[in-house]
Amino acid sequence: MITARGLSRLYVDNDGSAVRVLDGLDLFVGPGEFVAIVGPSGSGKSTLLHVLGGLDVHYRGEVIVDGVTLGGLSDAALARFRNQHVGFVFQSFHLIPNLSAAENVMLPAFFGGGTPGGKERRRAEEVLERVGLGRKRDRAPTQLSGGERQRVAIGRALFCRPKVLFCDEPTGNLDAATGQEIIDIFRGLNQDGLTVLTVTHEERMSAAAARVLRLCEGRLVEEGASR
Amino acid sequence: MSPGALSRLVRLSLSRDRRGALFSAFGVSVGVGALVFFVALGLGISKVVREKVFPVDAALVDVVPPQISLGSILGGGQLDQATVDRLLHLDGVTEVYRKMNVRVPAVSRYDGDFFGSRIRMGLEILAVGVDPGLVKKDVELGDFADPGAGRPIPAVVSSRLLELYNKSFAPARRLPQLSPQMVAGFEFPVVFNSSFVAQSAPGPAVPAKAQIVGVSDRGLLAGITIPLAVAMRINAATGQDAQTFTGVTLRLSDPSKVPKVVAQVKEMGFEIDDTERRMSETAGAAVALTTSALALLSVLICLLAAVNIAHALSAQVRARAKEIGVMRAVGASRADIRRIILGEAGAVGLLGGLAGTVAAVALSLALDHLAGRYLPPFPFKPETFFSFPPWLWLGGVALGVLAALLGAFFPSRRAAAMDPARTLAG
Repeated sequence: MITARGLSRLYVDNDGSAVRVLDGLDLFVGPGEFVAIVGPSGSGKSTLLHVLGGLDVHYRGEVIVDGVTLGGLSDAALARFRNQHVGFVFQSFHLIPNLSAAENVMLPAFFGGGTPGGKERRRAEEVLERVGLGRKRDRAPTQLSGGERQRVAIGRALFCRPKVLFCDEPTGNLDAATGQEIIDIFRGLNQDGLTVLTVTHEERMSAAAARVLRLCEGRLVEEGASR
Repeated sequence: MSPGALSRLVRLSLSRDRRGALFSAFGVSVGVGALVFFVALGLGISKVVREKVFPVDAALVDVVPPQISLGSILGGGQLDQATVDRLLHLDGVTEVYRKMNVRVPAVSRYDGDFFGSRIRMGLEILAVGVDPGLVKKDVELGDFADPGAGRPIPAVVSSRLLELYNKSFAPARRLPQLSPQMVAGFEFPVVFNSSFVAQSAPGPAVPAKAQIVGVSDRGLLAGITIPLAVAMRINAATGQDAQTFTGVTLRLSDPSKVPKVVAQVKEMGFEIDDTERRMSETAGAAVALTTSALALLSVLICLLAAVNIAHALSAQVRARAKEIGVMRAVGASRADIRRIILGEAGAVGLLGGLAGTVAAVALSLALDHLAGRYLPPFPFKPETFFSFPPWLWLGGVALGVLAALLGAFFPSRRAAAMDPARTLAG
């Protein structure tokens, strides 16, 4: 489902010096896997996620996700890839404040080529039911708790029925109990066949994954199965 | 992204900061409103100058004999029937209207009822005879032809003369206002070859009656326009030249042929009487110059509005960096982001352009109303000082949109160039 070969990513620091966060990294994630990538802050976990999800194009190497080779794709083709093949869940939820929960979930539909209508609205409601927020679909993000906001963000990521879910510290801003609820949602989605790749430095999150990889000096090291 | 999706996203975005959007739209509306107002004023005044003060028909050319001429020695200078026939055969000329001044002075002594008022006055009168075709569309009573000696001479008066009478002469002397329909049929005595101030010609005085049969833009401003045959008859009766014409008006098939015909006429040794045309053009140029200066000022206001929009959108783009990042993450391309920002600006510009144009129309209606009510009547005072052709409406709205899009150009590029990975990670 996800293949990365010889992945390198270089940053230029504020003082002008080059920092190599990914250094010839190789990764293979099979369909329906739940993989956690751990590592200290600044080790390049989010960078790896952005590269794999087609958000960051300034890398060297080969990336294939859901059969799509990302290298050389135009901006429009990459946008289509992000819309149709993958979903993102972020630590800070990144919901649009003036949209309701259902409208936030429908956001990908605006970029799918059609005009969002009743069908998309029903799909958003269906997804919100799936993450347990069916009754709060018309609430604004400010009227939702942190856990509820993250559920909306998960709903948004699931809207276009992606094959892969990329999660960037999805429980980082949540208390233990709420975080566990979110982890349970990911588990459920994974059991339904969704490939989940999450970066985290939280043990309970990595414990939920079937495989844990540690990002160390720009390369991934297998830590073994958690489940 | 489909247009429907774009329009929904733009609506949702604008509803978030209604105040800011309205403020930006207000800036645009001030510029557009000022521009539409001044252009409409310029067009309105030009229309009055063109249609009322100096009514010039672009397809007509007035030919007159040269002021200094060697005359028949060189075979030029006289506007006789042979010359008229030659003029008629020039390429582009469809009709020729001859004109002959009554070459003796004339007076009118009137003592009687004048539309409900009693007046007694004496006037020196100029008279010119013209071919009927020149004024036939304005004749409302009978035929414009020589009725024969002893019968009232049909006379056409100038519409500008009637305007001057109604707005200056009549109010000063408490005389009634007259319409073209009212004056049709009015008779007054005229004595040709008679004058209060000049010496008359050796021939006999010719007493007659004139009857106004119409009001025309082509009528003589300070006198009466009568059938050519009558002028020829009076000139012959008073021993004056009744063979050569004082002027000839050529009607062309197309105004674009004027320069060529003018050149040919000059080659024939004649001159063009373009006094009215030049006065009209001078007045028009003065109006256009003033309008252009005010329009330029308005365009500057629009540019300031564009700068304001650029400033507001730049700030918004910075504030919405994460939102833009999320849109990129869920499938927006750079072009989509650019379209969203430009769409928002376009909507603000559309609103501002519409509001400005409507405000300009409303202000012009209010000013017309106030002018009608409080300005004293003066010659050529129009019912409206403004003209709003459809292109001005469309232009006003388009300018609003253009100014807003101009302001949004760089912010939209900046938004599209944002690195989503960086904004979402930060």
